[in-house]
Amino acid sequence: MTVRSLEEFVVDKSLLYLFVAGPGTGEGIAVRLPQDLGWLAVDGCRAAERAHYSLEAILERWGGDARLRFFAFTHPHADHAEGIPELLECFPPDCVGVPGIDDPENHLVAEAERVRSSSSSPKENRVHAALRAIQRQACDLRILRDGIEPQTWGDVTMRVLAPTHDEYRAWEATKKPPLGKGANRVSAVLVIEFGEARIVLAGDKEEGWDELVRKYPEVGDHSALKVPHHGSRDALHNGIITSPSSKPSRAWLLTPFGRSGLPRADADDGLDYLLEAQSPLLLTALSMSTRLQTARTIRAVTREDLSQQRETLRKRRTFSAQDIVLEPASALGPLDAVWCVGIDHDGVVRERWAGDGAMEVHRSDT
Amino acid sequence: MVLCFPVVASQSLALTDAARAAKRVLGELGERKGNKLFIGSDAGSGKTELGRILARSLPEALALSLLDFEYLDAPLQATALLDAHLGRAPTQIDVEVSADVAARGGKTIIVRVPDGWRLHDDADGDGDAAHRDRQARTFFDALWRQPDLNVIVIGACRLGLDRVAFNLRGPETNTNLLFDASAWGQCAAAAHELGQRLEGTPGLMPVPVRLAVGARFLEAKLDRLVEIAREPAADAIPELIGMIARALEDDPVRKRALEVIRGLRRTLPRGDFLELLDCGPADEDLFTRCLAYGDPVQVPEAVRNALRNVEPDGTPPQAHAQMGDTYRALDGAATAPWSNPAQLEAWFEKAYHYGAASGFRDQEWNELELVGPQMYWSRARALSRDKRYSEAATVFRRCLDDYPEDDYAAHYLGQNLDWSGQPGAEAYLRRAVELSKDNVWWNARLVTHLIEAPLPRAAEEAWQSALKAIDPSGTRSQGEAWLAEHLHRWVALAWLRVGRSDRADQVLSSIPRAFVERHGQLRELRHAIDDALEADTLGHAVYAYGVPMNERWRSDPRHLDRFDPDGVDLEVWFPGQVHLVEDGTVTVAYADPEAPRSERSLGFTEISKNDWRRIATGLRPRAKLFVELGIYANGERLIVRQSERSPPDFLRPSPRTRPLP
Repeated sequence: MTVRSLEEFVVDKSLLYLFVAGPGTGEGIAVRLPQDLGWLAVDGCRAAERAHYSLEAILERWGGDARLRFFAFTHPHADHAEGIPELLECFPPDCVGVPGIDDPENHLVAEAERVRSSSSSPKENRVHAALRAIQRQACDLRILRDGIEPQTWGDVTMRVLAPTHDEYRAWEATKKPPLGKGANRVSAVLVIEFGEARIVLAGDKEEGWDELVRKYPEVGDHSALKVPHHGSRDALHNGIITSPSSKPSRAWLLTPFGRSGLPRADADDGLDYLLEAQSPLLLTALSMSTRLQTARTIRAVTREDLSQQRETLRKRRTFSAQDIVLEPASALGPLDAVWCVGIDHDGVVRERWAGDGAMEVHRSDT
Repeated sequence: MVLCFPVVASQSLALTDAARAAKRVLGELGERKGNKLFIGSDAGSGKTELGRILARSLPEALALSLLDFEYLDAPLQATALLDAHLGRAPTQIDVEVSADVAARGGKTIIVRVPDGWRLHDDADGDGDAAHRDRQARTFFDALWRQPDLNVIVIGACRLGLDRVAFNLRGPETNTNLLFDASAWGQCAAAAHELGQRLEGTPGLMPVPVRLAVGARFLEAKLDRLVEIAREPAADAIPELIGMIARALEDDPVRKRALEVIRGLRRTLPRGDFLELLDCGPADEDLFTRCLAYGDPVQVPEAVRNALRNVEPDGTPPQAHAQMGDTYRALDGAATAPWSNPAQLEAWFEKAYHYGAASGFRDQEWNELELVGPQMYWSRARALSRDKRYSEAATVFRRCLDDYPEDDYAAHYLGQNLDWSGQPGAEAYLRRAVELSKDNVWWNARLVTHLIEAPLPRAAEEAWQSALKAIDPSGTRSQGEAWLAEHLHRWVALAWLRVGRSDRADQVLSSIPRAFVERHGQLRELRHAIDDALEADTLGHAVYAYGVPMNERWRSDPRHLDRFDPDGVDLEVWFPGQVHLVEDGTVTVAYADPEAPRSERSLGFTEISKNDWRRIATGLRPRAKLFVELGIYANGERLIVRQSERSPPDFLRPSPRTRPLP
């Protein structure tokens, strides 16, 4: 399928659009509902220039008059929290959602308030600022938990598959500051359905996929998947990755997490496993090097290319030979590290649009 | 002649030249109208006495004794008393009108100004100080502007007057009085001992000598007291007050008496004073002759100030309630008794103390017919100090209903709404800025509120507006260090507290580096911002907070030895921080300290716990621990801890509710 530049993006109102932004650290997701029904947004991330955030830029450019219907914060990690105050200030949503359970005191916002004074680093402070921005929204605060009532907008339905009540309870019971500690365990997993189309937004969920897939086997059959936890091997469950798809085409979108070297390009690691099932993968950016990001000419790479680039960096002075080495990667503008796919009512991926820093990662034999 | 100065009937310990000075003032005044005289005076030099003589000698004199500068209702009360002396009962207190009436009546106003009064020119203090300055200027400017009005100011600060008539000679202590047992009652023995040691000592000041007698009565060492009494009063008074406070702190009755003395702003008849203190006969003379003096009893300003420093939390509400009751008995009025200045003064004191008696005389305060916004402020501030933010907000809201242009009430209504977690704070913080566009503190707090909200876009907009209003040409930010301290510092800190080191950097970088270097808190903030920026840019912190920025990224380690015990060279080393501790492994983030800035990279190494135990001897792995990782020429690896200084508490996010600054 042809990949077109995001600069040329035009809206087809009949399609559901999924924008995934991930400039190197973290991710933000915007979903444009068909028929101008509005937007959904999930998490947030920043590009090089702090004052410009990807989701804000997307909504400013292509949002039109449509409202932000729902904002979801999947889990309290700084790489998912950037720009949320700005987004919610500029586009006040109808509803916001955070992981929690039904008790009004047992959700992420309340938990943040409890541990706020222990925050001691800029990253933690940014998470707390994001949660305060969520808290100050006059709209309803919805709990993101498996089993809650689905939300609907026209033909579009959003369901929450994770965390479960028990997962949240277990995290909360062992909770110690900082807020983000172990928070991937309560990362929300959202499914958006539009006719035959199904989008799975897997957050940073690493554990508990067995139970989720057993309960919701249909998650493997989707039109688009935001790959869980930046493609870390532990987060990739067979029930999603190797499950047969009934859709004629599908898109797997992947955001890097530079600090942990994700997605890892070594043989038998995350990318390798993903590519066995789906090629190309839509990677929003190269995370490991500013210089590679600024080149901006790479539209398609293989896993081996990425692996080799990492090896080059490893030649620098390291404490041990197997260490991951990364250059700070933040040379991208707010719309550079973005993939967008348009999906029709039948669940077919019709369009792919890429920002200047986004690329396809291919299996080497394709 | 109207006399508003207290007539302090007691044998005087201070020998002043007040009588001679009064003659001189009368000579200076002559027959001309419109004289504005300033008589400079130090503590204890006879201000009260001079005022009293002048008030007696001048046919159309009105004497005003101002409250301490720290009291926000001081100018209001002074104006109201002026009105009462003039026989006015105004519907709205306005010093311009009062001064005009006084001038037309051919009056001479004598103002006794406590030593703490200053016009700061914004060079010091916080938002409240600036507000007090503004009120003080309004008050005195109104007096200065009346061409036909005679004004005599007796005090330590000129308050805008260019011409100093003369300075009162500093007082001398009449040490003979220390041997007069009738002047000291139960403290006579202590006074006598001091007298024997201090007799003939030049330069003694009366207030420290009184306090030294009190301290000796409480069994402080005589030798030490003699030394202290000879020190300058500014040093001696706080030290003696500290000794007395420590001696009384374990006795609740005496401690309470001290709290009352600290909170008393005006004189009280001795009987009322003693009843209020309820201290028992054995201590009466300690409190009425050493810590205070005269009848009516007067507490020297310096004593009140020193007591406030000993116990900065202020006089307890219950003590204020009792003081309010005492003044109620003196004023005998539900509404302001304009026809009787003495009663009016008591009425104001009653209102003030009931206002400060948060939780004890709420109904009594609510029933008062207030005559100025400052009366609301005092009450609301007391409630706010008591963490009763909702009630404080209600009082400020009432104030704003009565005085819609009151920027002070608007600002603090916003603040208290914020602290109590109620909605609407932003609107009132904005209203305060609208009413006083170039007010540094109102602007700073609006911006920091928006940052913390967080409404970053609105905060940015408000910041630009603030700069435009306060410093349109940009020259003040470059030339006035206090502006950096009271505006830029708070805004930068607020950005840093929400994790926005980049914005904090922009704000702090807009002021001269020299200001930052000179000011300890700005210097610490600069370091905190640089530390956060470095971690944000690199993706991870690798240097402990306490490592100065100019000692980072150097080839030499701070903690690792250059040679191991066998003399083997350290070949390479890295600063780092434990990123993660899992069941079997410790992950450390690190950086090459010798890489050029543009090529700095971040490494992540996974170390098994077994290896960790071997190479990081005695160091328990924990997330966020800062370390140095070293490799010696023989391949041996070593991990040592970086010495750590925790970031200061001021960098932590603000709690949900905060006390008044």
